[in-house]
Amino acid sequence: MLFPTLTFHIFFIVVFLVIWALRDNEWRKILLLMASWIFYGAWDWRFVALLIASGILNWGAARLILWTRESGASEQRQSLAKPIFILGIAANLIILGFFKYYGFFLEQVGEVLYSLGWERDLTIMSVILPVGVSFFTFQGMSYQIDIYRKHTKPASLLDITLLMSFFPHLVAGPIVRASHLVPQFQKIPRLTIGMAAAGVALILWGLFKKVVIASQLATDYVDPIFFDPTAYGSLDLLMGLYGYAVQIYCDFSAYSDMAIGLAALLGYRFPWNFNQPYRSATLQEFWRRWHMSLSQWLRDYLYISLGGSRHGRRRLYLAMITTMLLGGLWHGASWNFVIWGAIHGFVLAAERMIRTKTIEDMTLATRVLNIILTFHIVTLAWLFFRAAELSTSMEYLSGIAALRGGETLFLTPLALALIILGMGLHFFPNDGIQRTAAVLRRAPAWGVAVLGVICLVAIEAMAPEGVAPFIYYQF
Amino acid sequence: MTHAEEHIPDTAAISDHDQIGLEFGLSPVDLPDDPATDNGGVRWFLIIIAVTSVLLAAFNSFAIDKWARQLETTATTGPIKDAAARWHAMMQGFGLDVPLEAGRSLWKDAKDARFGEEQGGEEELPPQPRVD
Repeated sequence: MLFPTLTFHIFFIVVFLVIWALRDNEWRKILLLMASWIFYGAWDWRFVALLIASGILNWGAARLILWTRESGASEQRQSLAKPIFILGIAANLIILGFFKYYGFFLEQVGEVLYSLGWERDLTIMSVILPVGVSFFTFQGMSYQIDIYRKHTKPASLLDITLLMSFFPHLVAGPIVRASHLVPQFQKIPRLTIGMAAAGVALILWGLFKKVVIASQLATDYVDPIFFDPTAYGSLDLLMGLYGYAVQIYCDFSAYSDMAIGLAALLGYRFPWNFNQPYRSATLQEFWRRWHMSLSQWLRDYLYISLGGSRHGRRRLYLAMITTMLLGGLWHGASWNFVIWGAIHGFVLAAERMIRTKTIEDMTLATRVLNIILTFHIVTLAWLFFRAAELSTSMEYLSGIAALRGGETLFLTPLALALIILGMGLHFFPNDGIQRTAAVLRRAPAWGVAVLGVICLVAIEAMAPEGVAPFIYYQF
Repeated sequence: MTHAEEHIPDTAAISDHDQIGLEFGLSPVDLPDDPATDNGGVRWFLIIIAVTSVLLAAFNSFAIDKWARQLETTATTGPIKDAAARWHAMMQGFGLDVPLEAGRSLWKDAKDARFGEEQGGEEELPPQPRVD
């Protein structure tokens, strides 16, 4: 069930009416949980069981850790906390590994055996990837880790399964932590007009970015170029790459905006997930602005666990590179994702090695140059992220470097305008949605509705045939 | 630091030890206080749902028809499909699809525009992309 569809529209209206008609908070959560399972089951009912099992696993492991710490617990019982924690995390990684990396792993083994002269086919079982498995697994793991580190309070099974299953962020984030959402679940939510106005503004803005900018660029420009890079001239290849940078930003940030907006209409506040990432002057700044919930997750649960900056510079660089390599693999089992992570990891480490000035100390000219440089490093990494095969990435890069002219220029004025618009969004005030919502909340509801209808009809007029799934659904 | 940058706290400052939920200012839906709009959000949005549903059913009946056509044909969905098609035809009869069609026409012109003297059109569709 995709957000920008009439089916989801009807689903959400029903959920909204039922949820706000209920007075009892526990029933409200139970119905939200059931609605989330229906939403998830629309893809494949079998995976609802996985979602429930994952929730029980993480809640159960956390309960066992807490049991070892009960007052009066024997030393022997207390010593079980670490093994339980390790087993709990390992179980999550096994689930993730099986669904995401099983096929890739066997393919690599097959290639190694083939190179050693073993020419038999390995039986590779076809494993369907459950939508959003990386997101809900990470959310469950963060609860377990926070309980182990005593960073969050224990929550009920209902709260944890709802945290992991809550439909607005179930399939593509933001990765919301227990410490952020569970306290909100425990209180009866309240919907102010301001929150509703912000929700409406975020949903409309997200629809525009997804349907008009991202989908249009994808279908008419970026996808054909990546399908066969050898058929295009260097300028089209370069613009196709810029187009993909804009597409992935508009696609993913649109999902986050809509998720935050939908949650707001149900009375819950999600954190920021994007903050104009392409205006970053360093890669470190980029990761504070791009997919913020994932970068914070990687920082707190991986980078710091790997030693962070506490054990000297070599260990710091190793932690940075390892974190980004694993961050790349989190996206999927492919060497291209590893290369994407490696580019980010090595450049982050290099920045740390050679950087002499903080962003605040940079002159305007230096900052502009650094923004351009950082954008191009990020965009180069996107090439590997987007290309289906490593060979396609290489063809693409050599096509740009060849400075060849194509038979005709594939770039259209509309594609160019959308690329400029997508980049231009980064240089307006980043609180535009909040300013808009502050105006809307003072307006009569019917006026906002009429304005919303005008926007929706305009978006429908510009929509390509069919709605492509969000890019991050595959992760 | 610009006004915009001041608005979002450094994400590194987000406290994981926060036990009271998400701190104010860390969500895009946090607005400055306005006591006049503190209550009545549900009623406000219900009006929006009602008005937009009616207006969209009239001015975007195309979407309803498209959605119905994509449903698998069964004994239940058959009448829904027929009703959606009739509704769309009726709205077209009233001329309520004019804004959508005008927008489409403008957008098609924008899509067909080309740099230089080349003319765009259906026949110049690019090679088919891979299916992910």
